Amino acid sequence: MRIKAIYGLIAGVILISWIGNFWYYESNKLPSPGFLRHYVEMMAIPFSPIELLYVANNDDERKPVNVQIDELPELRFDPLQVHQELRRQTIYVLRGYIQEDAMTERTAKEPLRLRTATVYYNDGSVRDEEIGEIVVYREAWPLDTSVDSPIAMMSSGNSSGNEGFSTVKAERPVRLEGVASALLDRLGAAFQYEIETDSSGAELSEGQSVKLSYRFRLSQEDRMNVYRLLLKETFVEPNGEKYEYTVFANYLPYPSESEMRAYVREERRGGE
Amino acid sequence: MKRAFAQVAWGLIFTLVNIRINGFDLLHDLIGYVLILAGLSKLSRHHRGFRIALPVAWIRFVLTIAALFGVRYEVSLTRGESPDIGTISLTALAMVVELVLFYGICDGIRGMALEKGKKAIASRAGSLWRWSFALGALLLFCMPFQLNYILGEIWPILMLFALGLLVTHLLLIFLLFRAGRVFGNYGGAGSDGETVGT
Repeated sequence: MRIKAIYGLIAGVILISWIGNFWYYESNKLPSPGFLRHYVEMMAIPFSPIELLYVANNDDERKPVNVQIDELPELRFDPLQVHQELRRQTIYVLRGYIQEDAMTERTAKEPLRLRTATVYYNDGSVRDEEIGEIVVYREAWPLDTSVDSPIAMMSSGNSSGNEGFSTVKAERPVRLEGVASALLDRLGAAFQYEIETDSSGAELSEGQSVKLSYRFRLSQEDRMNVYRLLLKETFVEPNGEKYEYTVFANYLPYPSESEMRAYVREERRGGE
Repeated sequence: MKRAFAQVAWGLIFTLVNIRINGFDLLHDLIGYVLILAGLSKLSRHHRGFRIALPVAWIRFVLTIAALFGVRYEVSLTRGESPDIGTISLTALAMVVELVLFYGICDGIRGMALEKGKKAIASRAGSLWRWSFALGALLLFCMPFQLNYILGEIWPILMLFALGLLVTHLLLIFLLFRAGRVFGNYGGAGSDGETVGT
């Protein structure tokens, strides 16, 4: 009788270990795989790639194989690649490029605001998926290469701490009018930038430089989003001619295991 | 009977040792389980323990055939693998089946030894089963943690359990040969046709 009780106790402990681990495993699974939310600005010209991130449980069989955006037929995506592999989930990346040979002549158009994309999966299904908000600037094509810019790039950089900078130099006298991005309002205090100039104000003489520094200050919840801001510095020459210089501010999520667990918990709560 | 014990012992050796030449296993598990089944089918007439071991040996045989078709029921506890639920469950099932097989064989030897007054063999069989059960239970307890953690970090402890289980396998093989020698001399010099009541 005592032996049976010992065997029963041991079997019970093993059973608890299995039940507990299964429960923990299941509670850390994404309820459904999907695209992260992207808040991205892009220019509809070649050499301006876009990255769409897709997160799935490691044992999910269904994966996207291609993405199509009806409004941008010249945008083609490379095959799915792994962006980051975690213990239970994997973040994949679909990198899209505007194909130069697919471009046709066009005049500048109003920016597009894309919220969904047509996604083709390896199981043959096709679905319209929410991707966040992508602002696409459609400048005239071919680009006007005759512009003699009064601004020249000096240096730029970014760090893993989600900070970056860009310094430009005035080739001739200009005035910095301001910095703009379609996503600044959305990000609010989560994105900070500063401007430093060699001069005392916004007026730059020949040879003087202006440094734009930025940093993302994202909350735990926003850290799983993808951000790319095109910070457009507008310069005006004394004759009233305007020039834009664009600084790219990128943020791609590389979550830790605990950040991914928090994301999964949030997704599970959202699905309830 | 001596031959039946030897068949089970050799069967266990085949399942335990892998000698591969160009990927081909010279001592394939399938041959091992055929030997174990052959031996147990004869011994099952002699004791209830062997009758328990026989059907579970069949299950292991089926699992070994399934492995030939790609079904995986082995998970490394030390390589930092992240197995899926299916593989880990099947591995646990295979381990439970193996423990029951161990129990049946040990109980059979113990029962026969007690009938014949061979207390040393009975005691050895009993303690072998207890050690196998303890180590098997520890591994079964640790196994599901692989779903959530990288167990490679505690590999020395797991290695100790696995080595302990290997030693119990080896000791059981020796015990089977010994039982064959001792019991084979009772009532008919190893005739497989003899019957001994239980």
